[in-house]
Amino acid sequence: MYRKITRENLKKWLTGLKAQAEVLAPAKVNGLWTYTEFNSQELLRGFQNTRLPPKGLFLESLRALFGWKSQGGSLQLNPLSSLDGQRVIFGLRPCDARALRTLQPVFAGDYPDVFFLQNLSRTLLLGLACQVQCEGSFCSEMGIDPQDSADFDIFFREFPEGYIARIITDKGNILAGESAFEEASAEEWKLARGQIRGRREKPLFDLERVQVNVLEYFPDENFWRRISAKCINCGICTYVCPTCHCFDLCDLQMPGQGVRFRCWDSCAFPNFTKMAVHNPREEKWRRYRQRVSHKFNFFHQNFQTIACVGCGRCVVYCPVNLDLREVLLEVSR
Amino acid sequence: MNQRNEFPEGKNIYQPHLMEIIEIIPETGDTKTFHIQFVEASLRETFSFLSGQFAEYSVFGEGEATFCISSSPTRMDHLEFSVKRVGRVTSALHQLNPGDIIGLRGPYGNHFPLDKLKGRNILFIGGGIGLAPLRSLIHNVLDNRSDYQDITILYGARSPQDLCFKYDLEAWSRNPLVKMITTVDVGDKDWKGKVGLVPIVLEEIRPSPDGAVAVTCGPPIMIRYTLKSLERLGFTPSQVWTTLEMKMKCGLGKCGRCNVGPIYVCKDGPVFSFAEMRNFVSDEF
Amino acid sequence: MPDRVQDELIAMATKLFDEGKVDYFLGYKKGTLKFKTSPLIASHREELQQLWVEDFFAVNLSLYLKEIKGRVGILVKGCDSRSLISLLQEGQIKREDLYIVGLPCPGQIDPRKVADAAACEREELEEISRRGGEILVRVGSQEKTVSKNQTLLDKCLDCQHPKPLIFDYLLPGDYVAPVQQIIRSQDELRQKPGLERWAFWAEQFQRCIRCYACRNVCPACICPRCIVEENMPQWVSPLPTAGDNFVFHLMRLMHIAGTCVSCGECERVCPMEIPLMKLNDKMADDLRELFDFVAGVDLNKPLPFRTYRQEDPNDFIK
Repeated sequence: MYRKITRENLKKWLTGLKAQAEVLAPAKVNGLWTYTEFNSQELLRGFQNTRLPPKGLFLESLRALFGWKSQGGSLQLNPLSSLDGQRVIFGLRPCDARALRTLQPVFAGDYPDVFFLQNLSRTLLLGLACQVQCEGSFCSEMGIDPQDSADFDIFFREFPEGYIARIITDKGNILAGESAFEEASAEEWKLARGQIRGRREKPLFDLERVQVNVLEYFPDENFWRRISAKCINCGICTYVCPTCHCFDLCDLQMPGQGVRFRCWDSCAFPNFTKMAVHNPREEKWRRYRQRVSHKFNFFHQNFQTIACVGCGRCVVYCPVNLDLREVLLEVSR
Repeated sequence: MNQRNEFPEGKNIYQPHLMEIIEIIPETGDTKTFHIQFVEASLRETFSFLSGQFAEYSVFGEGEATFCISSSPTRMDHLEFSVKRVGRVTSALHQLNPGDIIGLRGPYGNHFPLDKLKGRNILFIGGGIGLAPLRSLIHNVLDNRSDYQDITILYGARSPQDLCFKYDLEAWSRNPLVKMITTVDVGDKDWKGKVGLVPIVLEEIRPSPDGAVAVTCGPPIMIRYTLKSLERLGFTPSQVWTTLEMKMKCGLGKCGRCNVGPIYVCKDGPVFSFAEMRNFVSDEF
Repeated sequence: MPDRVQDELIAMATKLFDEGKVDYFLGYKKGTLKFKTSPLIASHREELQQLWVEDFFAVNLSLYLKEIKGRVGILVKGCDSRSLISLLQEGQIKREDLYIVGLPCPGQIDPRKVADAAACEREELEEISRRGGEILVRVGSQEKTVSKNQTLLDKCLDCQHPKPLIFDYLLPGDYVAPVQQIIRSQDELRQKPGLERWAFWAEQFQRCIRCYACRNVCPACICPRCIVEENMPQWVSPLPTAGDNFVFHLMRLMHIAGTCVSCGECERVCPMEIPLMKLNDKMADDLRELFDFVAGVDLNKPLPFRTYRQEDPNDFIK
């Protein structure tokens, strides 16, 4: 089902939604693009993607899990509930939405993480087709179409008069409502698919070859040493990645009470696998090998999808320009 | 049109049950065994687990640590786990007293394959604190003795002071239906028993691999040599089982720490046969 | 940068390898993205062909001396050489293990500032190049000229040490400050009352995600085990709360007082664009005023926070 809407009316519609939900859209805060409360801001001039991925809105960088009070000898647990309240996020990109779908089975399954899953189920995802190939990105190589995606509730394409919307889910249909949008045709939707500025003619690498070869490269210590030599073991690639989800559990104790938190962690950190007696990934090359092998093969063995969406953030924000695309290209050969 | 799934409101997987410490038994200079019981009475009836499974134990304010459940599911009046003091949470545990409250999340992980042990000769090989996970299985097996054939327990520690679960060792050595061999790497003036490294003593005993299953747990170096000895005695990798140790944190297969290749030790293990371990992609454990 | 500098660099680095004088050479190679330079850690002479000296800001290579052991050839700009002096003073490296090659630097261009000056988004910049004393920017099909004052990194605007203070070999070029006679105006923030400054930093540290890039890229942060990784006792919580972030950053700063040479890498790598150099610059000014000390300049001047003298005042001990 397709609808269309002018720019002005889209702003009005989003503003109207604030009565029933928290509405987030991209805006520059402290100079960085981020998803923040929609305040009729001039939508998205110059916006490609946010600095930090939207995963932080679902898997928070700091999340209180439960608390306790200890008085005298007794201890009492304070359960904490997951957040509720409807949320609408406008302006998400196909790569980031695919990343959320990738994270979902990790946090569902035998032990469902109520905090993450509630965040997912209370949020409507409104996507926006890309018009520019982000620097460093390789989404197409990862099987993602920057201009078409079924991972949203509603997916928008810009066209001269405003936006054409493809309504994907029932929730999206209800959200769109009766009056804000006009009918549109499949033809208009197809016509609104535009050129993507900066798009590469040929793919950088073959993902299937990467997936197979990365296992073969596993025992090659020299390869991984050479590839990871300039890595400085910070967590930037992990924290800007929309699919990375490793976390730590940590207690914060104050007099008489405390809280257990879940916070982001990174397999790039030297102490990630440290045990009392030994650290199986003491050396940097082992950690980098784990990172690439896990994302491009092991995760797929468990969840039938590659844990990377090619958004390019790790490529752009790595302080030493350790370019994952170069690594994947070499692995694919 | 697609309907996105609604996820049911469920319990908080990160929140532990409250447990009271009933008794603390010092095993060696740096190891203690804790006997614990659920604060909430109804859980005492409903909680169940299988030998080989582990739990995450909380000292509220310090953190959580992973230990196997070392008591047997055939004896459910309380639960037991053993702790060697090596870091923050273990040191905090060692400071506690009976009556103190800790947390327990679990049981997690897979379990020893009892069905593969039934009707067979079982060879238990333990070293040091590695006897803790084996102990759950040993008591389990001994409590259903007629389901199994010959039972041999070979246990060793560095010195007589490092022997754990001495009360069990005594009981097993007095049990006519069990062959118990205790050994130490280095004796002392009072030690009257066997002296020798576990893999060497194993080859002295010469257990037959026919109709047998071996279950082993101990320090990595002991395991490595024990496996070599078992191979020399004719045991195949699918006849030998162990529990693996990799840093486990959440126990739920989510936090990523225990991930080795496609395996999550906390979900696909920690019990593995050596045949399975041969297929592991990496040597990182 | 003139081609001959690059050719000479490749030639002399190759000679170092051929003569068996070094096991590694630390230099730069072309980055894989616009306006990026990548470090090059060469262990074989063939890799030296990739050596590249480019116009955009380049990592302070002395950070790799923390992990690379052996004899190392290293390329340094004037500012980077100060890190070498600090590391020598702290006994982290041995002079005889280093072969130091000096690089003339025309000032490092900050693409963020270029985007501001050209009134566009950083992603819209197509090309940045130098023409004489000015910077040429292409956005789409439009070309604009912007001045060096507007577009060089803050630290380059009052470059005090364009020429390496320690070296074995100087590559040809002019070792002069890129912008003459400009002193960066004092940070306005310093004039604000305490509560306002507190509020400013509280907001900044709310955004810190504890990626530790600032710590890991810093040549002055040399602890093999950072205090944040210590959990018995837990001095600083690993949780990214504003309060704990505050403690981490201030503690790190105090720890490197006297060895931080204001190379600016911490601020450059921060993915949240926290203006960390405001703190480092203030600390450097305080050190100069209180201790008459400037980090990484004089190999023989004792480090104020690593040295104890009998006559140090101790009347504050009650």
